[in-house]
Amino acid sequence: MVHLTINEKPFEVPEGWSLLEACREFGIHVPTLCHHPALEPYGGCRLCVVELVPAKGKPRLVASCVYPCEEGAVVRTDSELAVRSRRLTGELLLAGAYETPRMLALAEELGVREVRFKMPEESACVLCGLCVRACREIVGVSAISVIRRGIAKRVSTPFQVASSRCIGCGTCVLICPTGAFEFSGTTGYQHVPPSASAYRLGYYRVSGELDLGPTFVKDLRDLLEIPQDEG
Amino acid sequence: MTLPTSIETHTSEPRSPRVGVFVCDCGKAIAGVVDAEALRREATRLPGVVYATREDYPCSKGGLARLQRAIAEHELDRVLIAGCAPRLVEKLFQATVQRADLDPSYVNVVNIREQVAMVHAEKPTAALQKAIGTVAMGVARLAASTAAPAQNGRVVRTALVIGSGLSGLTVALALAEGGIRVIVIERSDNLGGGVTDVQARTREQTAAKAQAALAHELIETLLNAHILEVSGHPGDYEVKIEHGDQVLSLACGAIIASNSAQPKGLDIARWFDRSRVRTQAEFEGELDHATEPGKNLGPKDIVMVFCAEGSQLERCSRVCCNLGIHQAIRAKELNPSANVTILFRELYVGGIGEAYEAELARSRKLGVTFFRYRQDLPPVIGDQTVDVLDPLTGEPLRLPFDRVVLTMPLVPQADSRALAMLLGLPQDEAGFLAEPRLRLRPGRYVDAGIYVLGSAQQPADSAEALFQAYLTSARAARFINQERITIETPVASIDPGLCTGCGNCAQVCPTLAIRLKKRDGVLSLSAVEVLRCLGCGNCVVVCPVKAIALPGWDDLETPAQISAALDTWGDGGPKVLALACEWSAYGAADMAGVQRIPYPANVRLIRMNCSARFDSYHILWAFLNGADGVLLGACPPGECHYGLGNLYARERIEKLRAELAAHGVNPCRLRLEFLTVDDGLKFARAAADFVTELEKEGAG
Repeated sequence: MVHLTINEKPFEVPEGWSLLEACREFGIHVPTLCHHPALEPYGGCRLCVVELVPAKGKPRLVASCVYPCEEGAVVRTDSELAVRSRRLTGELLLAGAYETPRMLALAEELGVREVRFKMPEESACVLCGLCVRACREIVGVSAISVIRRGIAKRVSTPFQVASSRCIGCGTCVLICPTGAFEFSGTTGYQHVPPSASAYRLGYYRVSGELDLGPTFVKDLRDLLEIPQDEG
Repeated sequence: MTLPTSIETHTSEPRSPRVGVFVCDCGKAIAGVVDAEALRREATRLPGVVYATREDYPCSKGGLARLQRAIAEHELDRVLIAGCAPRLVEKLFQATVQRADLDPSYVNVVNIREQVAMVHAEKPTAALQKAIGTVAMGVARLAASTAAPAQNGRVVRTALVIGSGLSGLTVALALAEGGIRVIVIERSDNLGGGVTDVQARTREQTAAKAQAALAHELIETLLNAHILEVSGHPGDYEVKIEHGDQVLSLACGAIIASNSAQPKGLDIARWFDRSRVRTQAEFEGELDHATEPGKNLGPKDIVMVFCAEGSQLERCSRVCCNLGIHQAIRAKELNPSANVTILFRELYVGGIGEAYEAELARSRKLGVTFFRYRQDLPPVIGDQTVDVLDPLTGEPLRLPFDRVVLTMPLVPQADSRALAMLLGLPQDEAGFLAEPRLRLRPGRYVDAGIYVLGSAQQPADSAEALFQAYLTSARAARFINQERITIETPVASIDPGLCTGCGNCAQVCPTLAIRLKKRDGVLSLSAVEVLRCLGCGNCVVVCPVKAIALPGWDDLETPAQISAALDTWGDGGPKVLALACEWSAYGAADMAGVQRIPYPANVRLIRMNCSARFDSYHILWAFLNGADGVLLGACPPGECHYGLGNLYARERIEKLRAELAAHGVNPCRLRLEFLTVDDGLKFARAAADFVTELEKEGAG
């Protein structure tokens, strides 16, 4: 077990826990954006910064989601330094992100009243990496990844062409905190327009060795009201 | 005589399941709206629940540790987490209960965050009632469920390559170099297959590969061989091959279809003077003949028509421009005074390297004339002349000919339809084998054991064929080098005692996982190849005797959820049950929560694996037990993850609506909606619409 002090109260946690996990465990609220319990910590959004007070020297800010609990550590989650840093980070994140419910709640929580920055290009993606990590770690597919660097950095499929590995599960859309994720645009997941020929092909696939004859195709056509000459 | 020991187990009373409920506060995201303590209290009263607790974050390290301890302390054998979207956290909890020696299928996550707290924040009482209903449904499902054992299968370290063209041989050699045994089957009597490339270099390359393949100790070649039957599953196929006059049975882990395409024959329905109108293949024979000493090429006015068949206008055959130019050069070389004219729609000089371009330049230098023709005005071949409009000048051209050479499109081999059926692959319009549409499948077989490449898929030039061959060999090697295939998601199983062998299930299976087998030599019996089964449940619905079980989505679990929902309904508004396909409507409902789009709280969601599993019996069960409306959510047509599940559902629902109307039940109480997974707004609107309509109709 590791002993540490958070907000002047002594706590005991098992070894290997991060500061964020310890805070959550004892009901100390630390705001997060890029953290998800089902995913490996990423340390991307810097909203979870807390102040680490060393025995001597200046206090410093660490990202609590990736910083491990250390024996005898003294941590403050609500110090002036941490709160101001979070507010600035939140303001920067909001500069890009649209006003989605989640981001508005975050702004209120952090006390961001006005956003002084403006992104050259409006994009709601804050590059928290949740979608990319969820696709890799939860779905196990890795259809999307972060491409390019610096201000050109964005989430896309390899070579920015429709990914054949994407299974269209929508986990990326669901986990996106800013509502930025454009499903078909980013993954290349195509909404296949219905056509008689597509159904006929599908029919061959499902019918397998038992040929049900063209009546099935006709039925499907009638069902979907597809004109006879199509396909 | 000793009694079998198994009888004793029958006498012992089966222990009723002990369910533990973990209500997540999710900080304030859930507890801020739903009275979590009341929810926990209600949960303890549910049948089967022996333990119910609240957690701030059950998904945190501490929460997971306490979950694991609680399972041991309270001897829980089923765990319900009332928290957020199961898609995001289910795996996390499954891993945790597994550490507590519980089968992972005995943990159920129900969503009271996105589907309750986030959408019904304005109505805390209704939200609590919905949360209680949701938890009750989850508990009912757990109590009715039985674990599905994980399915394992071996992977045979052998690959079967169909066709010994350039791509087939390349794959075979690449895999053999990787230490994988390869069997190459070829329908003709020599290796090399139908290489359609004209470059001598490609032919030499293929011949060299054929030599290398013959010499390689890991490659076995079967000439004059045909596939008769494919059974088994990815990783362990059993293939019956007719080889000469014997039938061989081979086991292989992966099947690579690389059979060639062939030029189409001239359609007999179209009459031409066949002594003067030839196909490119026939003309090649003529050229070969002319090169014999003392024989010169007869025809003087040669007109070549590229893209001769209408069908080729839609799909480029990649190699025929090269072939045509090559033959034009040969004709010009044999008879320099011949007038060779090429009529083309588009010239595609494919292939990598400068050799093909150089041929084009050379043909021009030798005096071959090129004219473009318009797609809507193809050349007209008359008795003595070919008439065509030159789009550059707008002038009609009249070209006299002694020989018209038609470049025919490449079409699949005659037996590709049979091969497609054996492998369960779709064919495209021209009859080529299409690659399985991976994205339409659940992530299970991202690497299925069947690969299609080269001209089996579409006409390919040598460079394309080579690239594809190396890509395929890398993918196939990775697949074959797995030690075993494991499937943890539930699959269908058929009770042989109940099966009547009607064959309904085999007809609707999207993966050919169900085959009819002989029983007692007379009757037939359905058998599921478990590692091919995707678990869509289509077969369960069509089985007239209910002989098929699909753990997780069984005939016990869904009605149990329906009953539980209706028993805990509370009051207010019509009772609407929504059966939601987890790939579409369930995700859409989650999205409605993320986007905080409210919809009526009197809609309870039941998560289904696929719309194919929407069972008329379940819907009738809901109506019988007092539901006012049943809303069904499926993927839009063309997007079903299991092929055609949504269309089957649509057909069934239409029939059921007609039946309901015939029996005096208002059919508006049953509605099917097509939704995509990111369509939160559409789901919220559909739910609100449906509730309004039910209220208007006064259904009940």
